[in-house]
Parts: sequence; structure tokens; C-alpha cells
Amino acid sequence: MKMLLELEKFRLDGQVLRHRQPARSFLRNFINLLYTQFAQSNYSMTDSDGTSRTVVAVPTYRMPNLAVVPGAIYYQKIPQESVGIRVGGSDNPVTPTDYDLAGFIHHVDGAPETSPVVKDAYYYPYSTGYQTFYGANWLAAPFFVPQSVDASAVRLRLYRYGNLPTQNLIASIRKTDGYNSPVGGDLCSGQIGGLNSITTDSAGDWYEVTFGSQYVLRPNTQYAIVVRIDGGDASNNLRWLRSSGGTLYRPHKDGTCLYATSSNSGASWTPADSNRHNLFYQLLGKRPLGLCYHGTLIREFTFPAPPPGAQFSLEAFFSNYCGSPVSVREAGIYASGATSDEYRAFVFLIARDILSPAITVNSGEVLRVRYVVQITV
Amino acid sequence: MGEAQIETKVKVDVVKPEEIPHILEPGEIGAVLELVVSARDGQVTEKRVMKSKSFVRRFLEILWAQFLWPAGKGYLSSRDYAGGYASVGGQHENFYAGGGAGVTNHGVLVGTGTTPPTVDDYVMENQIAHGVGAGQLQYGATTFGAPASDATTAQFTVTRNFANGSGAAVTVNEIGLAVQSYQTSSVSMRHLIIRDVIAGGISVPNGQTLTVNYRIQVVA
Repeated sequence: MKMLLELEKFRLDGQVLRHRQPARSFLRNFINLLYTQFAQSNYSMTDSDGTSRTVVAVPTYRMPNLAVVPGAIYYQKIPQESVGIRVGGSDNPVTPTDYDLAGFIHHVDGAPETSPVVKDAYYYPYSTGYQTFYGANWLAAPFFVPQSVDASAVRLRLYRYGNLPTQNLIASIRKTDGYNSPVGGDLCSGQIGGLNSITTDSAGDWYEVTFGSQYVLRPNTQYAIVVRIDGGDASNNLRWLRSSGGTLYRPHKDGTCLYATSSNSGASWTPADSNRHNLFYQLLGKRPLGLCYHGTLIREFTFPAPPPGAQFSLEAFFSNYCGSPVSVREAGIYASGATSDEYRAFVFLIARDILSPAITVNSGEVLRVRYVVQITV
Repeated sequence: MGEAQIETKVKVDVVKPEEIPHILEPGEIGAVLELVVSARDGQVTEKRVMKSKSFVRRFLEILWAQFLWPAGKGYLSSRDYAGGYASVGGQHENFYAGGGAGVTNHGVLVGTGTTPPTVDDYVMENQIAHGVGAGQLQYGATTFGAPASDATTAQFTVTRNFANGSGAAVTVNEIGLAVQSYQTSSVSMRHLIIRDVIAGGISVPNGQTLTVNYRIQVVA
């Protein structure tokens, strides 16, 4: 059984450029997911975030395994652009244990904005409380982004308690374990000083922390805004405003995702998961450069003669609306894997190919990528 | 009549990387077929390793349905092992290959047929029955080796033992793998997804056991 990888670029002048190559591409995660099915046995594998997840053969909530069509995902809990055929910009060699495209090209509907705008936020000013942070006591606000964001800053709703004449506020973004606890180092971070200029009014105000370097966040990955002060104590600290109990769920978060606390400078975290307390923040950024992904279609079976004996194909279109050329050097397929989590399935890269030669998709052009799965007896 | 024993306990083994055979071509998705005949004392009397040539249509059909999850939104009619047609949609229980001891329409199967496979094969040509009668073999439980990979190849293994207590040698010419598609909580169908014909057949002497390993592989 083999796969072919076919690409067609539709140029603005009406010409179609075709490229075809054998796919060499199914990965360990495809074998892992097939094994889960064949043996009906739970199995741990690495998701597209690099996190080990135990995929469940028959999960209680019957989230799907091996689905590559976003429209068919139960409960729509996987963003539409997270499964199916995706393309990337890296030509790093393929290895069987690859878990993500090395240069993932994001799904974007237009050109980057000229200046950062609010891309994700939570603010419910009608019923508020606060969480205190200082010294080794850090706070984290888990979040998802609704679409890919080139993140550049956060705004936090804060007020000051006591004096912080020399301390700095540091804010960063980290990945989480998928369940609200930050993991790993900072993906991007920034800091502000002069904390004694922060209001002491308990209604708080917005304070912006700009990151030293930008980082592109993508849907279906849970991140956290992590904040801390390099000093302070119980009488001199900052307070991050949040909603109080009984207020709104965040629809795309599902369930009781709220905030997490650490008392050891981020070495370990405790998610607060009994109330709907969401910390108030605004995430600022721009669209990254990328291609608009129109979803993956599975074509019907065909039986060409002479061989191959049977085949079907997966097909996806990508439009360049971002105003700049985008070079495509790799293609791959992401599929879902169910865990014991009621609300979430995770995403696994099951195939990856390097394109030779690379294909540049100019502004306004459309790229069609087609994987043909064939058997020959 | 011999004293061959069948294995009924399901087990999962981790296959060490050095045990990954490299027979498939780069880019291929397929299986390596290993046949081992062993005596009661465990001594191997014959071993063959070959490329499984014959994934058949039903594998692709169930994979198609699984990609297009869930049932009811994307399904197709797929010929089952009994000759009927089953509506197959994406389900967690699809592809299950764990045929138990004595089960002859699920898991690894053996037969005496010699007709070359075709893409539309849905049943073994001449399946060997389970038992200790003349020409029969005792089907053990199908077991699985957990996924493993090296620098180029990833695999998992489906294994079944066939013990010969028939009183005479039995020659196996065809080998297949049948998996299930889920229909309801109480009904599942069986589908042949691989059928291989072994050149010259492989003889299982009385009192000895044939172990079939299908190593399902992808090669980067």
C-alpha cells in the first residue's frame, strides 16, 4: 500500500502548475492510533504540542480516534483548522517520531494588521474578586486562542496593595499540560517596572506588558498567561482582578477552566477548578503570515484499472490572502485522538512529507494538496 | 493425536527496535509476515520472513470511514467475512483484531487455498477449521505487540498461534487477517483486510505449532 502526494498551484493568470511525488510519510503516530484500534488498548503517544497523551480505545464520551475531517468531530471541540492536511515551511528531514510539522503554516484569513489588536480577552466587570501575587506566589490564566495569533503583549486588570518601589512585574506565555497547569519555559515574556504607579483603587485598571519577542499561538493548544513580581510580600503585592463565583463560563474553554496558582515560582501549579473565576486579561497581537485552510475533504473510493486496485484521496485547498508570498516545503496529516477527558480530543500528526522542490504560493494564488492512498494486490 | 497446546491468554509485548524487520520500501504502508514453526520444546523448526503483499479493499474502506468519523455522517457498505454487506462508519471499535481462541472469523486466519489474492477478496479461499480433526489446527488467541520504531520504520505486531493436534502434518498455503467493524453495542461484523498466499505453503508437523506474526509497518 502506498500514498502519492499531488500538489496543484492555481495562478492568477489561470495557469495550473502541477507537482506529484511519492509520499514517504506515514509516521509512528499513525501506527500508534492503528494499534489502539487493532488491539483495543489504550496507548500513550505524543500530540502536536509535544505532550504525551494516553489515547483511549473506547472513551466514555466517544470522542473520535483517527478523524481527519473537522466537520465530523463530535461537539466541534477541535478547531476546524487543527485536523486534516496542513502544510509547513520547513524541510527538516522526516523521522518516524515527528509529532508536528517543523514549520507549521498557520490558518489566516488576511494580511497581518498594521498594529496589534485584542485577539482574546476576558473581562466581566459586574461581579469581581481578585487573586494576589508576589515573590514565589505566581498566577496563571489558562486560555485558548480562537485563531492563530502573533502575540505581542498582554493587558492585565490590576491594583496595588502596599508599596512596590523597586519591583518588576513579569508576564509571559507558557504552554499548559492541557488541563490548566503551565508547563515548560516562557514562550515569550516582558516586564514593567514603576509598580508604585499602579492604582490602589480596588476597581483596578489595565496595565500592558509588551513581550520582548513575539510568538505565534495556535488554536487547540492551551496556553497560560503567567504573572509574577520579583519581590513583594503579603503586605506589598499586586492583585489581579477576576470574576467572582457563578459568573460566565468561557464557551471555548469548556467546563471549569479558571486560573492556577503556584507557591514555588512556577515549579508546580494548582488549578483552581471549583468555581468559574476567570482572571481579566486582554491578549494583543496580529495575524501571522499564513494560508487560509479550507478544510480537508475525503474523496470517494475509486477502482482504477490497471492497478492500483483501489484508492481514495484526502484533499485540501489553501488560499493566500495574507498579501505576501508563502513558501511551502512540507505537508502532513493531523488526526484526532480521544482521551478520557469529557471535553477534549487531542491532535496527532500521522503523516509528514518534504516537498521537493518547495512551492511558493503568492498572494491571491490557491494551492491544492492531495494525498492518494492506494492498494495494489 | 498430538499434545499441541494453544495459547489463550492475551498479552502485549514491547518489540525491541532490533527486532524490526526492514523489508518494505520507503514510503510503504504494509506488513511483514513472519511464520515460525516450533516444536513442543520451543525449538524452532522453520522460520520465514516475507513481505505481506496483499492488503485488500476492506482495509482501505474501514480506514476511509475512520478518517471520516462519525457513523451516520460518513459511512460505506463494506463486504463482510460472511459475504454480506455491513454499513461501516467511524467507530472506536473498528479494526479490532483480537479474535479469541477457537474463533475462526476474527484475527489471524489460515487456509489451504492457493489462488492468488485479488483486491476484492473478502474471505479465505479454503479456511482451515479449528480443532484436532484431520486437516484442522487449533486457533489460539490473537495477541498484540506494542508499537515500536527505529530511525526509519514504525510497527506493531499481531500474533496468533496455530497448534497441530490433528495427528498428521497440515500445510498452510494462505494467511489472512480479519478485523471487526462496530455496528451496535451487541453486533459487530468481520472483514478480511489482508490475504496472503505462501509460495509452496508451510507445513506444520503433528504436535508442532505455527506462529504467525503480522508486523504492520510504515516506512519513512
